[in-house]
Amino acid sequence: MSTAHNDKKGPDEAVLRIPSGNIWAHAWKIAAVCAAIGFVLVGMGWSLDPHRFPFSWLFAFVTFLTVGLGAIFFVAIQFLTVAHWSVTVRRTAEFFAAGVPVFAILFIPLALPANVETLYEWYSHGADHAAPAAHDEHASGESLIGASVAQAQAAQEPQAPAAEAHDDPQHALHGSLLEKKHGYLNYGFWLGRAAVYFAVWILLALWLFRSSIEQDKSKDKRITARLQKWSPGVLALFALTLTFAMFDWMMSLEPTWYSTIYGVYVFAGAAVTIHALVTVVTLGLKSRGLLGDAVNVEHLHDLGKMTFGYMVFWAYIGFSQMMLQWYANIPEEIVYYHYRWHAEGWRGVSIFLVVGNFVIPFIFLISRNVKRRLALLGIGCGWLLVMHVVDIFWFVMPNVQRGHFSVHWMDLAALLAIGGIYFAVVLFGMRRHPLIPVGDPRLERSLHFQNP
Amino acid sequence: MASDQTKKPDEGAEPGSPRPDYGPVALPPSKREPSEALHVEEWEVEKRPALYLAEFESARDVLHAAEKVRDEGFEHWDVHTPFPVHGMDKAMGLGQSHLGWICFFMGLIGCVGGYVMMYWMNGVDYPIIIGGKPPESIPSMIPIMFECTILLTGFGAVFGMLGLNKLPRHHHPVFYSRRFERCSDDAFFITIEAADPKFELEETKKLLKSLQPKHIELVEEEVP
Amino acid sequence: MSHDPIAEIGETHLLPPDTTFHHVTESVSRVTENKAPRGWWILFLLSLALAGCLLASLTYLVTAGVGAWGNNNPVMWAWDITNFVWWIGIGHAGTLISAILFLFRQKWRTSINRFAEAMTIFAVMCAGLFPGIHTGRPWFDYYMFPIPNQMALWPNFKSPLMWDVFAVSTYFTISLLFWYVGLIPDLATLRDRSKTAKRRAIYGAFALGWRGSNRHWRNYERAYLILAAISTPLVLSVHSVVSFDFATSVLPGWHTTIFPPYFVAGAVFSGFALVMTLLLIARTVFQMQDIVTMKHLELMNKFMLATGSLVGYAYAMEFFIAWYSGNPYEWHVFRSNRLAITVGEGGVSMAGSYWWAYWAMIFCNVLVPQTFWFKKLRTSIPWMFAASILINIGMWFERFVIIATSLHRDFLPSSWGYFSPTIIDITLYIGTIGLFGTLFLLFIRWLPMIAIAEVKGVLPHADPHHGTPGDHAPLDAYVAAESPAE
Repeated sequence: MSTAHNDKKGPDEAVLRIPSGNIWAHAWKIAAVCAAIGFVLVGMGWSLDPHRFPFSWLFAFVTFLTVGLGAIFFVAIQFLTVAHWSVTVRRTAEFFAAGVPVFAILFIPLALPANVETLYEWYSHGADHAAPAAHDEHASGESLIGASVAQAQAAQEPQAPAAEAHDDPQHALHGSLLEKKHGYLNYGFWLGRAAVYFAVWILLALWLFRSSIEQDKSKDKRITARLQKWSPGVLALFALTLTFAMFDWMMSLEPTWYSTIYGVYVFAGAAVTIHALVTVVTLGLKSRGLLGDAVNVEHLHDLGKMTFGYMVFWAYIGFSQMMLQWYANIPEEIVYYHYRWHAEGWRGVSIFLVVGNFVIPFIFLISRNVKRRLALLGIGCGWLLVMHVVDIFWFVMPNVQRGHFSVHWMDLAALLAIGGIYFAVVLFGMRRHPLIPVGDPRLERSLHFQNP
Repeated sequence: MASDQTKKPDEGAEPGSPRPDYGPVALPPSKREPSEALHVEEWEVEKRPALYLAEFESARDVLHAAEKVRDEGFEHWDVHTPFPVHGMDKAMGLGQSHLGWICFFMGLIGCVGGYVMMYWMNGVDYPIIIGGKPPESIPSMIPIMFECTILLTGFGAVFGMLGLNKLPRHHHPVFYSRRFERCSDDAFFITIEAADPKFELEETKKLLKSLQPKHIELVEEEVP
Repeated sequence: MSHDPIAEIGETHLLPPDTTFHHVTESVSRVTENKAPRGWWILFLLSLALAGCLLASLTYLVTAGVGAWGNNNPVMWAWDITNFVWWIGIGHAGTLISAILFLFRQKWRTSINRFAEAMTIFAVMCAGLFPGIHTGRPWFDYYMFPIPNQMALWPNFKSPLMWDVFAVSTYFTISLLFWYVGLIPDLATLRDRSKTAKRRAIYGAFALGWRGSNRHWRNYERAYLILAAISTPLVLSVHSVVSFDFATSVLPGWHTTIFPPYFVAGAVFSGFALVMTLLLIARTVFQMQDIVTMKHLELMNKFMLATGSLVGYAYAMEFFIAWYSGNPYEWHVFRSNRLAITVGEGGVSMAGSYWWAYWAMIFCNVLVPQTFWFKKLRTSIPWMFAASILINIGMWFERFVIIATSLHRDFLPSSWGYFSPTIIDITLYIGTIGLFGTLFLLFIRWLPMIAIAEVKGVLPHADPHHGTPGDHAPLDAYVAAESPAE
């Protein structure tokens, strides 16, 4: 901003960095304390209920991982669309992207064989039945249908823990299907793919973040040119890794179920979340006297519009999947909704998800006046963040005990642990760099951006 | 704008009637050939001032001029531009358009109406069960409810806009000016109507002159 | 000036910075005022001849019945629905350009949106023809609408085909209104320029007495914004509903959850390609190179690259899940009917009946747009013209692949069949292209094919703060970025 000398509205340097006395300078400590409490509780929970632990951990892990991946998307799409409105809020997303490497470490508990066995039926199956049986397509076709019907019926009874999975009738029925998928769903390959995903994400996140930080000092316009040039590649890699990671970690929780739209579905949720989170964090920074006029109602209005748009997109994708599987009513597909509708408790969660993540925020956020009234916008976006947690809960937790609804204190503890660590890393990074990309060539335009 | 009704010519000027260059005052609409319509003196026309038309060079000039007219406290005045000029609403002191509300309620009617239609037709009047789905199963009703919402919102937007703008209207006094024909090309105008309580032939002209327009013209209309 | 383009990050002026308002008015309006160039007449007569061929085929079809088509027992749907989906998909780019790009403030759209919207309307008209005639008794088409009839029956609202009726008719209506609202100020321009009483009467009547009043612009812009905001979900819904026609059934190859967004992406993809084809012709015939610049064309090619990649993603998902699902029927459709490479005892063979259609689709839709990664090809007019045509061929094949490969071998091998088009199938399809061409050429002659008022609005001097140092403009949209020179 030092270059824009004739600029009356330009923020002065003081509000672009977090001063040591500001609450935001200490926020990472609060997050770290949350993380510490979370880890102690999760540790206890793990020893008390080893069946529940991996589900709770996966739930919390995906809840926050999607935030980090959403941040990569947010940053890359701004360069792809050569947007200027978002320049002053982009740094917040860059901070969240920069925290992504932490998930590679947080993934370790999920990768432990004992936990993989609890989470994924295909693990124990593949271990014993690696030898391929006769491949009669029609025979396996029959058992496929049978498996799903039995699965649906089995929902009435509590499922045996996976440790006893070999005696489970459901397991036997899945056998031939899981055999077919063994080439993809086996521990070694699964682990290898995870390594690739993390390698890609860390590379993308750090490249985006470091380039922007470098530009703060050098003011080199070629960095923007480079980011613009490679942003399509970033997004292509992002789309493929996100999709397959979610197939591997989430979709294969129900190994016979499948949906081609699944990757898009998770992406939509991630996009809503990062836009809502950037809004909330920006409002939080502003409320403590930071950012000055660099982020004003115009930028927040646009963030609100984007949040709203992606929320509608989420609803559209969710509806598409649900409507098609409901309408066709094929056993191996409908089980997914069976567990989330015809099971005590889960129907309530499903309705809450539709109403809370679409109907209410739609009516609330549709008005221009609400999006431009910052307190209301903050409430709307904060609400969507809570609903993101519910969304991932709805994705993962019906598999703990199929057909039964349960909430466990360990779910909350895992959220504290993973969220605490992630936010501690992000907030720590925030202290060390300017809060807006001060070297961006489009910064000045962004400062004067106005909604038509 | 409200008093437009009282000062319109006997008949609306037909958009199709040819307009020879006979000065600022329009003839009563005529279905004759242009050459015949030129005989101005044959007509006993009582005229009165309708509005001042001031032409400006650029979007910037007209915006700054509009700010001054606004500050003078005029009500019945307008800015005419070939394209919407950003910041003009503020320069004219206009608030938000109310079209959003019209559309919102139209959309609501569409959504509820779509649901009621399907529920009544397939569930009440002639219940049919297809594919094992009960007559009122919501997922299969969402597409049509959505389309009905969009359709009525769109009607609200288009017809609401025309209604708020009091269009179509082919007989506005500005059309009596030949200069005004360039308004849809590259000219920018401010009009101050005689209906404005602050309108005075000399004073208003002086004010407009002080805004340094390219040209000022008094457009007259006939007394009904 | 802070709002001038920054060359280092690839920004340039969208239009030459000295373009005047009058130049825009003049170069667009003159097309409707001057005599039509010879190229126009050639194309028009050609289109008219094809439209005549449509009329003849329709007459024959209605008198002979739909048996005149090549449809047979397993392939109950063939070219009729393929053409319907193809045409409706083409329309989507118009709405995308006019609505979605508007919401995203992509100001470069102003040079092409009118054109694309007109394309939408005519494409939807061509599309609507097929469901109208495929029943064989078009005089009973009113059964599709919820109006009382002598059977005391109502339409079945649980049928995706009924959703289609609502979606397509809403889409047509809203697109027409959107188009017309955009036309009003430009019709006023034509009215004010008219030299004859007839022109003034006709353009004047449709211009509704528009006088560029700012009090009107205020509501007008709000209406435009609302129409854009509702057209965006509408365009998504229309092709989603079209995809539901297939995806709600339990037919392998049709029933897959990614269909709705995949169809939308494909629709936009093919529509962009057709806009490109038409634009390249019109721009040359009417010499509009200074309003539709290479930058516009390049940006459109980037869009084709993006949507083509999305379509490629969807193909990959379908294919992967067909295998991953473990469903033998699903996998059969993909492996044997489409991909058609069988590695068996007899070595590698192309055993499937429609392998050529599948591979034509992959080539045209996935590989061809990928060439737009290279700036040299992205800015080569001959290549983009060829690519835009190839893409539309590919998108036609996509619908044909989905429909025919899935249907021709159903669950019962004894009823397996094969579809070959009859001459009526072919003439009907070609005929709709003629109908489209006729309407489009008439549009070009009689209406401003570029949104005059909107293009003026994005010129640098349209900004009331232009050229005032220290006084910052609210908009700086006259710069468009392209990737830096390579």
